[in-house]
Amino acid sequence: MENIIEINNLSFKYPEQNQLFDNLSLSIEAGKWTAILGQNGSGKSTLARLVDGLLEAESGTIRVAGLEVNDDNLQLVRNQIGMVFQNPEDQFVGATVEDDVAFGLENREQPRQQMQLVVKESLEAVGMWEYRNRIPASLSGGQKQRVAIAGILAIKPKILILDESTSMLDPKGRQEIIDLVKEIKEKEELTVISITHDIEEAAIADRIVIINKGTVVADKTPIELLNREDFLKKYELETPFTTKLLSSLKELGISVPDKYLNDEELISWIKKSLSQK
Amino acid sequence: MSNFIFGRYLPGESWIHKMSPQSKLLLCFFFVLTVFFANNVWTYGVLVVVMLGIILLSGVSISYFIKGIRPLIWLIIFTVLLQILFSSGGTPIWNWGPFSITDESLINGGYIFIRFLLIIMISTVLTLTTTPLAIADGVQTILKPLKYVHFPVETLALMLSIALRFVPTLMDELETIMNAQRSRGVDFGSGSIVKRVKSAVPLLVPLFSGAITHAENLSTAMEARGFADSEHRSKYRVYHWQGKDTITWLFMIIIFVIIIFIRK
Repeated sequence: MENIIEINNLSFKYPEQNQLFDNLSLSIEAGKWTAILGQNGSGKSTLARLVDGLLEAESGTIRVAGLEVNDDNLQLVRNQIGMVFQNPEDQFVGATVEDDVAFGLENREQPRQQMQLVVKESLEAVGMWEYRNRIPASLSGGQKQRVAIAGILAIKPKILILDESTSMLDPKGRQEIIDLVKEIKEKEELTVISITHDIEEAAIADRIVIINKGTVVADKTPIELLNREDFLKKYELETPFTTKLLSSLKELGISVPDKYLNDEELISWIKKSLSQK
Repeated sequence: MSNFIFGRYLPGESWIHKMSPQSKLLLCFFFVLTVFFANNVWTYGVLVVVMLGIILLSGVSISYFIKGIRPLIWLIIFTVLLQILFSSGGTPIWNWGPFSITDESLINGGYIFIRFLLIIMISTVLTLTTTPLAIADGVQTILKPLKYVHFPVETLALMLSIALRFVPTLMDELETIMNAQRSRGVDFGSGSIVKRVKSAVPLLVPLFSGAITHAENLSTAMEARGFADSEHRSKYRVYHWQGKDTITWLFMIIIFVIIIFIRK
């Protein structure tokens, strides 16, 4: 697979703060789901903003789908990337659901007739078409994030960046958004980058990158990484429920498989071991 | 706040609901202008009949208009009383010190009362039948000629629509901050003026800093969605001038001409 995002020797610092990134290199494969984990202040969100050209790097290059991120290519790069931010309230530009989805299209000077088609299509894809005339104040957090995703689908990007998009949602809203992104990723063949604290969200990724103080400290698949409780604890990350259960079983003297299992895998493993007895 | 009807929108499908917002806004101004030309029983009679017709056309129940007038009733009574008690001329009916009531001042007081009612009612019709967003779009359309003197009409319209969109959000936030501060022992709305002003500080500071955070996040999100400047954009929501608008305008101009002829 080709690399859709390539970051080479990136350096960046905020004014009056310590150097955040020093010579960071990272590449993201097209069509994959990559989760970026790390504690607060590790530079995850900053990295996403650098990739989208919302912040300017000190040195180093970033390429998105073959385009270098610089002032000349800014709009072209942003056509490739859709970002969903953390606070559902603060990214709702339009006065109604419909207007919000149309915002990105208006910025690209699309003709009105075309816009009407695309807005309908995008809102239907996220199941929010019936809500098109509602104002943001009357929607739940999860519904606002759905609208934000519809606004991104409308501009048909190749990359979807979720910048802690589920962190302000309740567990139900969170699961709904994750399921929706999963579905859309398959249908539109998107590359998904999810920046998150939620270990369950990271568990469904193809690859997990852990960033700590501006450097990549781990770059592995969930199966390789998520059963290592000590390692996760070291970077102040949550341990998945299944891993916790397995380590409790281990303490009770039961021999357990030495890899990460998701819920279904764990259930079938327990069933199997019980039936053997 | 809940019984404050002025500025609220009621969804509907009436003739007036379907008119374009720019023509409604201008018509509202035009009607107010016409009201100031009226100066005798006949002209006011015509305007009251027209107003009743407009209310019927808007399909909104008359009780909403009565609610709309209620918060302003003291202002109306005060003005009408001043007019009645302090104007001179005409045959005096009653006298007491500096106060006097004459037949003419009674009639003038009545006119002012009707004038108030007409102006409040027409603006209530406008806000009840037009969404805030449509009003913002109407303002943009009306201000378009100002582009020739390099006035940033699109930017103003965008600011207006974002401001309108954040009104309920900031109201909710204010409510939350108020309750949070109350739970920590701040007492709002009692004590001397100085004490009341002081108790507003723990409300305003978090509200302002919250608004700045909102603005920063929103501008990042707008930029990420390809917003470069407000001029090079197409428009999703468009309100066209329709047959309904032309007919209503013709009618209002005829009324205006009639008023001009029958005023004294």
